[in-house]
Amino acid sequence: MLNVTKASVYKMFHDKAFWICMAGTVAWAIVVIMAQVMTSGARGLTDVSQLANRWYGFVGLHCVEVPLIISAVILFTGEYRDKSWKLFIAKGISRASYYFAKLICMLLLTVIITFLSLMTVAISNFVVLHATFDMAYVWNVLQYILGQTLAHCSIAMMILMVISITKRGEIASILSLGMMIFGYVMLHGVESAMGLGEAVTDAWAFSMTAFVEFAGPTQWGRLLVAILGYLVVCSLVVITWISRRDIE
Amino acid sequence: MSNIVKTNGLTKKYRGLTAVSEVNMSIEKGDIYALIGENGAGKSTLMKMLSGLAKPTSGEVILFENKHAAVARYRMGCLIDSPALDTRLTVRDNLEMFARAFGCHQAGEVDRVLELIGMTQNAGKVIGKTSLGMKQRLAIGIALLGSPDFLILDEPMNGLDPRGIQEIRQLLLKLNSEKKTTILLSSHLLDEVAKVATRYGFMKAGKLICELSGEALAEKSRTCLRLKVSDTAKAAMICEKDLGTQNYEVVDAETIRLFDFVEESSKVVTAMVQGGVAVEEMVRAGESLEEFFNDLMTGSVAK
Repeated sequence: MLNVTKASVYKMFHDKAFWICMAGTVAWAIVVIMAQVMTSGARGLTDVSQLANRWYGFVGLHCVEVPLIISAVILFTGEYRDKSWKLFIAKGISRASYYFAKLICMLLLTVIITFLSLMTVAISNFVVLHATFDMAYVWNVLQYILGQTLAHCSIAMMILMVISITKRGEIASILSLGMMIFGYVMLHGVESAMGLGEAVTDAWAFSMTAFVEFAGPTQWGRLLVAILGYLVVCSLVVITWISRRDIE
Repeated sequence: MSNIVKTNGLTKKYRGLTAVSEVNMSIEKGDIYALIGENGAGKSTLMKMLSGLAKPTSGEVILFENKHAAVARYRMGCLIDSPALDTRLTVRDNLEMFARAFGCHQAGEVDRVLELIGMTQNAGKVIGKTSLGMKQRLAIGIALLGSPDFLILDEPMNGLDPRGIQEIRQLLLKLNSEKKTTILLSSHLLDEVAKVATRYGFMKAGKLICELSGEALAEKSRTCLRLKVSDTAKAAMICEKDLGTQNYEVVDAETIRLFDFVEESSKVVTAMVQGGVAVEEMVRAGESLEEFFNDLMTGSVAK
């Protein structure tokens, strides 16, 4: 599995699409912040710290998942489309090892995208808002980024599950975006209507980013339990699915 | 000789359709085994089962006399169906990536393979922008990573130009003679196959209908007169008494193959007619693997 992981990481960093996706992620975060800057006056938001926190929240909540879905689909469906994954299997590498290697790669991609997006916000805060730079603030931000990364790891597992099952970029994109919208809009709407608060959406990977706050380690326990749960469920589903099928 | 591949009753069914049926084959170390058959005969499915891409419905595959086929597959290199490559990476990056995955990323391995497949000059090209021939060469190169003991090559000559075909043929012969690499290949280019293969397996409708050594095939496919006659027993007697030869073979109830008098067919016809045997058809046959294959597929050759 270590060898396939090394190969997958090598491939990711040598694929031009990876660098284009990363540039797109940063550009997307900048566009979102610019939009926030331009509309903050109209919304009566003038307090610097309030603005800075709002930007983190907005980007962490809404601007990591879409680049993550797009990048994952572009980077991880290629081997199914080109059928090059059969070369790994024909060399005696088990399908489970192949999946876990891709999972590690996917988690690495998640860490990179989350850090890129939120670091773009942090830099924008200093450049645009001239936010105060002290160690307490930096530590706070780092904890927030770590919390967001943990939340996005569960999302990454669901996206990889969809990719591994459908093996097709367009279908995986639509399904992943559908799951995202389902979590944010429908599921939350239904549970509110039923008076359940956020009990259901808190367990839905795509909604987990919402409860990551600057509060820090208090929510990490929940996030780690969720990651473990998604790891078990997604891995079981994918391995069962790909192990039973012949490779064309 | 040790068995590199042994299959026992290998069968693959797809929703009621039997793609491969009860195949018992063995490939020994040092063989260049050519799997020959029409489209849909089950060659690729058989190769997929050997390489672990398809799971047999029944039967078993034993590789390198090791029941744990997955472990043995580390010693194999495969090219199944069309070249499966990462189209966004360059030729070198593809090799580097697979070398890492296969655990053979020692210094110089990628350069060695690039040289073997004659792609050193094209190492920087992105796969998506290369010709089918180059893709095919690279796919063969990936199969050669780590110097495997056993190669499975499904249609390795596909898309290659005449020079490419010649180079790949020489490469296979070199690997076989110098490193004793065992090779299982399939191809529809029978003349090319005949230049490299030492053993043949013929498949029809999912069944391995005939297995032959190179020498046996040369014997079977040697030039002869194939006669369709009214009475083969009588014709055999005429061959022995009137034509004075025992160099013939009764194929079935109405076909006889005569390996002498190939250039004197009129003498044969005259002898048969005078002996009271009607000759319904006479053809000069068995000049090539292609003709042998055709005869086998139409059922006019003894298996």
